[in-house]
Amino acid sequence: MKNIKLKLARVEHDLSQAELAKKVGVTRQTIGLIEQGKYNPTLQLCIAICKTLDRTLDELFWEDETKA
Amino acid sequence: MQLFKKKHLDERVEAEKNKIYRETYILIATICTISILYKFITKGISIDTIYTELIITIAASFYIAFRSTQKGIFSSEVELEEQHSKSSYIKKNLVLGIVTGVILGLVFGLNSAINYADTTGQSIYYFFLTFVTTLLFYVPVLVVILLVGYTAAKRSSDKAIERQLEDDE
Repeated sequence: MKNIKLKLARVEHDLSQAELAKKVGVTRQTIGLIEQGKYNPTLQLCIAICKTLDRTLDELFWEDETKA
Repeated sequence: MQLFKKKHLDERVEAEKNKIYRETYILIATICTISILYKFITKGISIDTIYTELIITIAASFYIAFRSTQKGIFSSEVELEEQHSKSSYIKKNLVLGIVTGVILGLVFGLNSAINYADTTGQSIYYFFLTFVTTLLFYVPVLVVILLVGYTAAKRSSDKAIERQLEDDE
């Protein structure tokens, strides 16, 4: 399932995938795959992304079951 | 067939197992290197005695290179390396090629000086002759192999990433 919330938060911060990747110490590919829902990040990486984007884990990574 | 049914996977166990497999590869490569050195010392420098070790190390290296480019991991490694390092990945590889050429030159030079010379003067002459010849041959060959290998692997790896991120942005 695609992580639209992460993509929106990144765009709100005016960051490209490569810029966010650099800030959290991973590659652009990893951020791209997380946004596409093709890679499950570790809790450590989730926290690093949340801190960079000023969001909580719930806001970015909690899947709302009522939505598709 | 119930016996062979796939079990549920525990991510911690999987991560630990992957760590063990990585260590196993390093252990096998180390054993092969020690075996090659031992055979060179006891039986002399000859490729005929080290075929098994060469096949094991080269086949494993090719498999790793192939899978890394297929999965796009190679490009990611280059990207990460360049994020955290002042010198580029290709520059480091070129230095590695040159250093390997110099080491080969020294090994072959010493081998010629020790095994084929009769006098000290001849030893010095053979050493430098073999060393320089090896340098002139191996350094350009290694550099070209690394450059061509790097370019091909990077291109294939970049394509793999593009395919994976196709729907994105």
